[in-house]
Amino acid sequence: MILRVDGRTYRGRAVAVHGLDPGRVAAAVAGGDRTAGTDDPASPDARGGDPTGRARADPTERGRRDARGDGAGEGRDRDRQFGPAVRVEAPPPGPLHDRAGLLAPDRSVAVRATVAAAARTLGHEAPQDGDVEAVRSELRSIEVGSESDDREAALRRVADLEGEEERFAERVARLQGRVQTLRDREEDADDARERLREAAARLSEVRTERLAARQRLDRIERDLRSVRDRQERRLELEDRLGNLRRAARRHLARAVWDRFRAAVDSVPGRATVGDRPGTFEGEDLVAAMAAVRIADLAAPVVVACDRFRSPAAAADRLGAPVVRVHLAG
Amino acid sequence: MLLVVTYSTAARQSLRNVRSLHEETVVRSFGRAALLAATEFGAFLALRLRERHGEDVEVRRAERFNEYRSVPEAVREAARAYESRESPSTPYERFAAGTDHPDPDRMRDREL
Repeated sequence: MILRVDGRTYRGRAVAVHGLDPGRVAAAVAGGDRTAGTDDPASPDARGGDPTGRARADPTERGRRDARGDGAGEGRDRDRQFGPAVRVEAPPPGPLHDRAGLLAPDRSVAVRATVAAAARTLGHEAPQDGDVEAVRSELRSIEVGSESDDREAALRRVADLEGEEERFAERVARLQGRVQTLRDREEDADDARERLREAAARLSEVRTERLAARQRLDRIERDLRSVRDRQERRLELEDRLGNLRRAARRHLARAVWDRFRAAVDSVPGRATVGDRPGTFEGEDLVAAMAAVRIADLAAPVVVACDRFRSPAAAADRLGAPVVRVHLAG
Repeated sequence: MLLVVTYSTAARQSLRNVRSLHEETVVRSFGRAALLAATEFGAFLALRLRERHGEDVEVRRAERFNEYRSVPEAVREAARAYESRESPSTPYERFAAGTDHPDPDRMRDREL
C-alpha cells in the first residue's frame, strides 16, 4: 500500500502517520479522492485504475469531501480547516470496510452485521441473495409519480369558496331579518328586498362554484390513488428487503461464528462470546478487530487505537494491511 | 379526529416517534397510520409530518360514525338481517332478491 500526504510517501503493509483525522484516512482508503481525479486535473489519480469504477461508501461524509487535491484557493482553505489531502493507493475496499474499516474505541458496530460482512469477504453467500436482488430490481423500477401541485391549489380554492359562501349565507340571513322587521313595522321594504335578492343571487353563484371546486378536488384525489398504490408497493418491498437482508446477515454470521469467537480471543481486549450467533458482550472495538481478523482483506484498515505494540504488530494480529493513525498532540 | 397515513418507511418511523412523544394526542395507532386528536396541536403534529415527508404523508379527517343519523333504517336493517341469515354461503344479492332489502348496486350509487 502507498499513502501520500503533505508531499510525503509511506509504503508497506503497515504504515504509521501522525496528526491526521482517522476519518479522512479511512475515506481515502475508500477512494474518496476519486472525485479529486475528475475535478482537479493537476492531481494524480491515486486509485490507479479501479476497473469497476464503483463509488465507494466511505465512513465519513466529511472525509469524502475533504480528501481532495490541492486545487486553487479552495483546496487550501479546506486544508486549513481539515488538514492536508490524503491519498491511498491500494486495492479497493470490500463490504467489511463500511463497518470495521476504521478501528477506534468510540465507534459502535452492529456485531452480527459486521461478522456477516466479514463472511462475505471470505466468499460466503446467503440463500436470500437472489431474492434481495430481485426486490432491489423491482424497487429501482418503481416510479411513484407525485401528488400534483393541483391538489394544493384545489384545496385552497375550496377553502376560500366555503368561507365566501358562509359569509354570503350570513348576509342573506341578516337581510331576511331586516326585510321581516320592516314589514312588521309596516315600513317600506323595497330597498331591503332588492338587496336581499342580490345577495341571494350571489350566494347561489358562490354555492355553484364551491360545488364545482369540490368536484374538481374529488377528481384530483381519485387520480392520486395510483400514486398511493405505488407508494404502498414500494413500502411493501422495502419491508421485504429489510427482512431478507436481516435473514441473510443471520445466515452469514452463523457460517463464521465459531471462527469469530476464536478470533476474539486473539485480539487485544476481552469479551464474552456465546455459542449462538449474535451473542457478544464486550467492547464494540473488540468485535470489529475480531471481524477484521477473520476476514480476507486487501485494502488497509485504519487503526486509531492504542492496543498494539506497533503498526506491524497490528497488521499481524489483524491479518490485514494497517494504517496506524496517531492523533495530533 | 385526524387520520394520518404514512406511505414510506421514513414517514412511518416519524409517526412512531410522534406516538411515543405525544401519547396524549395520539388517540389510536395502527402502525402505518394513526388517529390524532382534532386539536390545534394534533393538526400541528400532522402538518409537521407533511412538512417533513411531503406526499409520503396523507392527512384526512375522521368523525364519529353515527349510523342512526347517517344511514337509512333499511340499510341498517339489511345488515342485521343478512348477518343472521340461515345459510352462510348465500351472497347478499340472492338474499335480498324478492325482499324489501335494498339492492347492492343502488346502495353503491347513493352517498350517505
